[in-house]
Amino acid sequence: MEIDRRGFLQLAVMAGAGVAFGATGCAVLKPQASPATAALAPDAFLEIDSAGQVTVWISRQEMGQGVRTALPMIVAEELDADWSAIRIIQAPLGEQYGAQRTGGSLSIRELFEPLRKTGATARAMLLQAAADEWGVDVSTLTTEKGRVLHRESGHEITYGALAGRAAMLPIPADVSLKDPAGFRIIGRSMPRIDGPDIVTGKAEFGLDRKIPGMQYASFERCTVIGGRLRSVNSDQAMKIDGVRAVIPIDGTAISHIMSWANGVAVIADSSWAAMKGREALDIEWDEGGNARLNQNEIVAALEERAASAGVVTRNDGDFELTRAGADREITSDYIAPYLSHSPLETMNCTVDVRPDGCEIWAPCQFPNIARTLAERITGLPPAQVQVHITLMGGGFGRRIYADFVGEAVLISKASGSPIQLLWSREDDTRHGFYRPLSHHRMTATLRSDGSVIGWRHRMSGPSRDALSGPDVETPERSEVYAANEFPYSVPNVRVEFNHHYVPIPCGPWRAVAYSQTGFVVESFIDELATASGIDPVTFRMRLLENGQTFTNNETVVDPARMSRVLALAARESEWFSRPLARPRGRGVAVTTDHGACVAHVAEVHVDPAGAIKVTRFVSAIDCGMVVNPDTVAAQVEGSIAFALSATLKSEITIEKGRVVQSSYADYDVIRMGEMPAVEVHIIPSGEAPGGVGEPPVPGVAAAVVNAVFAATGKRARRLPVRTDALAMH
Amino acid sequence: MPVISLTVNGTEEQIEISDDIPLLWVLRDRLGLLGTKYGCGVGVCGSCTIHVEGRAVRSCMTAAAGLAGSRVVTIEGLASSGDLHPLQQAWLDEDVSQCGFCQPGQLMTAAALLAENHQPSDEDIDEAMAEIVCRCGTYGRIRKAIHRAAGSGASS
Repeated sequence: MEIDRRGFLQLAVMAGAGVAFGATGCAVLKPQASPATAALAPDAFLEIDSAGQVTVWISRQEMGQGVRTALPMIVAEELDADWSAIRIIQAPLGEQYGAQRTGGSLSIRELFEPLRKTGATARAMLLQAAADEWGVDVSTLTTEKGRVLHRESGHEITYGALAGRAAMLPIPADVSLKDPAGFRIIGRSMPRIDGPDIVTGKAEFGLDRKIPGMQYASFERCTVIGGRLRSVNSDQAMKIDGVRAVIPIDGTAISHIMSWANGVAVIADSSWAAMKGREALDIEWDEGGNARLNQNEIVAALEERAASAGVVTRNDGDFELTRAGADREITSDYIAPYLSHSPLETMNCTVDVRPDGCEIWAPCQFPNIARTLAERITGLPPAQVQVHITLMGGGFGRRIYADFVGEAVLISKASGSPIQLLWSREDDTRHGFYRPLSHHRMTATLRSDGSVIGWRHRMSGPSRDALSGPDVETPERSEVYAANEFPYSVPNVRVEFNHHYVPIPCGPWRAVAYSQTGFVVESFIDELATASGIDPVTFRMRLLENGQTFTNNETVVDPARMSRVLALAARESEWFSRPLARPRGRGVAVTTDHGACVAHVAEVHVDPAGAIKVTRFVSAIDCGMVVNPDTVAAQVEGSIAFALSATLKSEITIEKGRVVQSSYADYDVIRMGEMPAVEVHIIPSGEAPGGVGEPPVPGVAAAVVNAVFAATGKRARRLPVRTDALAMH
Repeated sequence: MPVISLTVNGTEEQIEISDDIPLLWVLRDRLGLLGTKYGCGVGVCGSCTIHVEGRAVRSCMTAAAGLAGSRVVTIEGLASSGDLHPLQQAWLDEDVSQCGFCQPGQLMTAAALLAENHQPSDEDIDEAMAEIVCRCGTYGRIRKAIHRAAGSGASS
């Protein structure tokens, strides 16, 4: 977030009113402002009014990861506000809020320092105002929970009483930040701000938005990707009570993220009538060539591609040369399937398209993409497109592509009415942007003492970058960076990518390329340990201890940091001190991504029929300085549940060009009885905050697969683990 | 269209209904009770769970037409006269929620469990709560909160 404060005037606004910042950074003054009612607002993120109400604008969107609690904690800390009296407002899309795209486990990483400065700036101005008021030096004053105190005299004054005077002061360019040793809010487990609304049913998600005159839309699309509407008979649909209109829609030319947007929309006076109307449509589809696409053929094509060298993306030393002199060479093939995000709240959007403006309410992660699509569809300039972001019933990366916003805008424009478009669960499962299917041929060369001299990771599969079609210049870019970040100390490392185009839309799934790479790398490393007769933790420690820190794009791979989380997880799980006997077993995985390191130790029990029960996870995380420890623990627990579903239960498969699965009935996720006990250990750190939403995901599958191996001697190389498909080792 | 009478959160409502409209959409679109969520519409996720005559029921799979004269309670009616239900308080004390979308369904299911079984074991909880999906993975905290509300003090 870069906010240029030079040229900012002090701000005086009516209490409770928002602040508009023009392009020059000058504040727009409200005509009736006066010192008595003025509020202090050093930037777009914070306002303290004359009653002392502290308001923080939240510029990243909430999908359960805790930003609506953690971000204001940062401001409140440096401001020395009374945390219990903080009010938050979800910022609509606006230039004054900087980047609002939410994802990549970036929110705290990007906003920690800027929001500290926000709070500290306001505090500095309030202190100066009090100093001026009392005629004392600022150095004699302190702050606490919304008040300024002059210890010597015992004088106290609230921020509210000072706000007007402070608002007249120039905004300081530099302010000093607190010593973290003095933090009273950051580092504490403040309860989730939205908790009370959630438990009473008041929390408003996208599908809860109602706007005046709103109608309800349901959109029937071809289930074959690339299929197009040939004809529709709406006679029966129009007879359904409540149905108002049936409109063919084609948004596929608007953007390559709207490749599902061809079909027929039913507009009705209620959600149910819209769904019923849609069921009554009589449609002929032109399914197109993709109707011949089948899972088996895709996998077979990848297996074939794996036989040849791909584009080389990392090449340390010379892997080929290690083969002749190696005591041992091991090759294993892994497959990670297509995966759906399947959040509980299906895609939806509420839109009012008018000739003079477009107003959007959406549960979306990237509101800028929402606005761009609306601009293209309506022809309106950005200033006339407003985007409000609601709470999201889960995101996981699915709500980055605002295809559902584009569809809603199209439908509202075509129908001439404000509408709410609600996707059914089947729509959500079948018209996604899936984690890409991938094949991994892993080869390693070793000496008899267990030292690894060569590592080759050959990845084959479709690419997220190929959303626009097969002619994408560098399809490996979106897929192989995680493999390039192989952290272990091996002198000869080769990473290759074979792109195989598949028209199924793919997109970022929580942890993105790290999710399938973590499974593959941490499983194969375990295979090498087994082949060498060395304990899996010890094997990894040896490969990390001489490791070099390196940077790939903006990711820092620090083997020493990885060693520390690995050691902590091993100790807390009693890995060495209390071994488990079959049919129980422990497995380990250690990964680094998005600014954090995580080590998981999973414990499983496998019964004689092969049923796997994951009983416990012991997880260690180093995510730098922690804003809210309980949120970190929650993200580890949640990541484990999310990744366990992919490990044990569900995958997306393709038949006749269609996604086979439809709902949690056939794309099932972890349920209460399948959730292991989770112990989270956070490494105390004074380093800059890292990410937390994604880092605990990548190592989960391997930890479980490795544990199953320890428990049974059988290794799974395809997910989800099917007990009947476990290969004999 | 026939009109049926049912009591929702203590208030008697006269509702005109078409043949097969599920209770879920009557609650959301007719009565403006938005706490009960649409998650799947096919009874496999539990986000739509409410109480009919005190029992946990999937409102997406329950035709409103069959409920004439019934007492329905939704998440909005779980708290009584200003006090949170012990489960709601326990949910806050354990900081259960992440995104929060499934939590009304979780709470209604848990409330029906506790009404029938004051001291559920972990196995009882697993069985009763198996129907309700949480994609954010708050299951461990839900279990703790149920034990807390039950006053047993036990944790898994």
